[in-house]
Amino acid sequence: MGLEPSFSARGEVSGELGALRDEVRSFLGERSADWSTRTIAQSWVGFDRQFSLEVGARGWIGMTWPRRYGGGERSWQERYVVLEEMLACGAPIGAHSTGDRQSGPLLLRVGSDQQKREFLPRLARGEISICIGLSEPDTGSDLASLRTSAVPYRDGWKISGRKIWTTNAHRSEFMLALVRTGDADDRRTGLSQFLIDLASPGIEIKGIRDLTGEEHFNEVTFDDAYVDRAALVGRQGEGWQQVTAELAMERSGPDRFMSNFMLLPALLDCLDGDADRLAAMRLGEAICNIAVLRELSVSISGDLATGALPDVKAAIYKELGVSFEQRLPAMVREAAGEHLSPRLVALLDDIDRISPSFSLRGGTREIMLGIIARGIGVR
Amino acid sequence: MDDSIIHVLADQLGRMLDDYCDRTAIHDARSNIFPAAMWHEMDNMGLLTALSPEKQGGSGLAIEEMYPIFALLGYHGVAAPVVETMIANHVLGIFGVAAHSGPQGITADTAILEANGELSGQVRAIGGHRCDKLVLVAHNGDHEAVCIVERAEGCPEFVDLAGSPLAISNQRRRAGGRNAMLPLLAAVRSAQIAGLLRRLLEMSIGYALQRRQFGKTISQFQAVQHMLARLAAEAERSGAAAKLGLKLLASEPIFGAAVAKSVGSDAAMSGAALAHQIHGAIGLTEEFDLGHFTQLLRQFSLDAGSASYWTELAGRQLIDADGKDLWSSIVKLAATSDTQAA
Repeated sequence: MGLEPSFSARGEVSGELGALRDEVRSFLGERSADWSTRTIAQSWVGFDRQFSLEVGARGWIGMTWPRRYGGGERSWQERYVVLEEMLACGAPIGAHSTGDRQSGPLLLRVGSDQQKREFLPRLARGEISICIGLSEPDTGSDLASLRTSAVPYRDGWKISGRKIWTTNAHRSEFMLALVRTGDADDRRTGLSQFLIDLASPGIEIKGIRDLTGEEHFNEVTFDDAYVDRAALVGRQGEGWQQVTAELAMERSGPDRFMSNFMLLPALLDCLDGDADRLAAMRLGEAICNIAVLRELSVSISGDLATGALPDVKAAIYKELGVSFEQRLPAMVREAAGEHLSPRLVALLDDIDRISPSFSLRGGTREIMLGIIARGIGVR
Repeated sequence: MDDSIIHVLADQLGRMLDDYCDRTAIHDARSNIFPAAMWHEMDNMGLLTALSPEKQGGSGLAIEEMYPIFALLGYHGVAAPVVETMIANHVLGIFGVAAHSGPQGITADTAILEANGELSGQVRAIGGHRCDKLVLVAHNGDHEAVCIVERAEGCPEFVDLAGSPLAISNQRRRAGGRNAMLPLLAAVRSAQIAGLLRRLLEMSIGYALQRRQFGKTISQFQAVQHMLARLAAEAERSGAAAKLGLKLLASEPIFGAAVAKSVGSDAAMSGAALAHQIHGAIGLTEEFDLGHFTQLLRQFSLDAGSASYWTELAGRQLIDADGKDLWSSIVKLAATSDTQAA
């Protein structure tokens, strides 16, 4: 009977990466001075193209990709260090993090050589952003029920339908969309992925104002939008399998427990040696949980680097991670008591407007529990 | 450390526990009957002295690497003071005292060594009711020593140490203000908890697949599936916490113990509650084994400091730290564990 936890480390993020860590910290130290609490609260959803261009110029996007596609051929551990340092100060990485985390790796896996040559170097420079087109007005968790379709037309495809809740579509140049290319009864084999230029005729993007008072989500309407044959990503009819793999990448990174890490330094600034037992307990609880969640995340990152797609592990990790980050604002309130600073209050307010999304984005809590249940053989 | 030795030991122990830990063994454990035959086998395979230095008659294995062993003992619901004896022998070895293969209780509490050479204070004895010796670290301010209290009849959970017959080791300068056994037992308990939770998950899956209500197995109800999924997540996080905690023991004993025991104790309590909810009334019966495992989980969550004991300690260290760079403290935990593993 083997009792090894599934999350035994496959590799580690070593202390030897200290020089890279210092370099990233010094870069971030200069830039983070101007960030508002709202920017910090939005963290990896926050979109700042200028910042992403600077990150790209340092070679910190697509770090593990082959050099011939604009990557740095560096280790997954080096990439992990850069990413966690960005998250630890709430950097606005949304303009490049999706490409770095999932779209780029997906293209490397299943994309054509032409797609790799055309898109990967631009992603790595931080020049372009790719949004993820999955949900539709009648399709949320039940992803296989989606209806947006692509039908063959001349030398390519015509796309019709609507995508919704597409984060940062209005600021992105491209969308990686999952659409129906086959029979609607054929729930999982009739889907394909397309990389769509959002400047094409027949595409309308409308922002949806959210609780922050800003627009991050969008509704994107395709009215017989024509795309070239080369826009198909991977193989026709294999979109479901490709997206399943992509979602394992989406659910595995340190972003799933560090979305609101910046609450903790702000809390610590409000506490002194007279802090009561509850304050110390909540702070200690947060740090202990973070240390363990980081182990889980590092373990999955190691799995992904070997080409494995640990979807059940990713679901377990994401569920644990988002449950922690969703509990964190309440823990911070308990710890602070009446010891508040203007910065802590502002940060809590900005984060409260976003934190309900933690257990929705990338798949809801109920979907994660369902994936785990299947993984342990009861579903 | 050659971890193949530990894998061989784990294989051997796993096979042995498969044979011994049946319904009768659980019944005996509940009736406080000492598993003498199993103990004898464990002694023969060198398990009880595995953590004692070779000089003191042990194998000198590193506690940091022993996760598979502790998890197996948890998985099989072993209630005899096996890990207590292993830790006692480890600490005896640190003070240059020979290992002892009889059952030993330990305490994570502070005991005072008085000027007259006697102990004072009341301590909670862990694994004490079936022990023949209680091993503890006592101090007299600047110095500390390991003391072996003779307890031929075992001892109650709370022991008044005054007037106990005892043997005292050589003294050494006291390092830190805390009983060295406390972080060790905390991290080891968390590995046992991880093994116990794995067992609870298997039992709960098995029961849910077999029990029928409303014309189908209860595993087909989404509410039950989600409880099982949460139990699986608790088992995974306790395992990761225990492995990280053990790895950190040498370099950051307080944080290592805090990570392992705070997350482990939380997972133990919520995992036990989930398993009982999935099992329904049958889980409360004496003839069904579940209660034995959940009772151990609840006991282990309290031994060597509750979750809140450790989170408070970790939190205070962070609040009192110079510079208060929280993120660097976390990275340091990871970086330290890398160095250890290298």
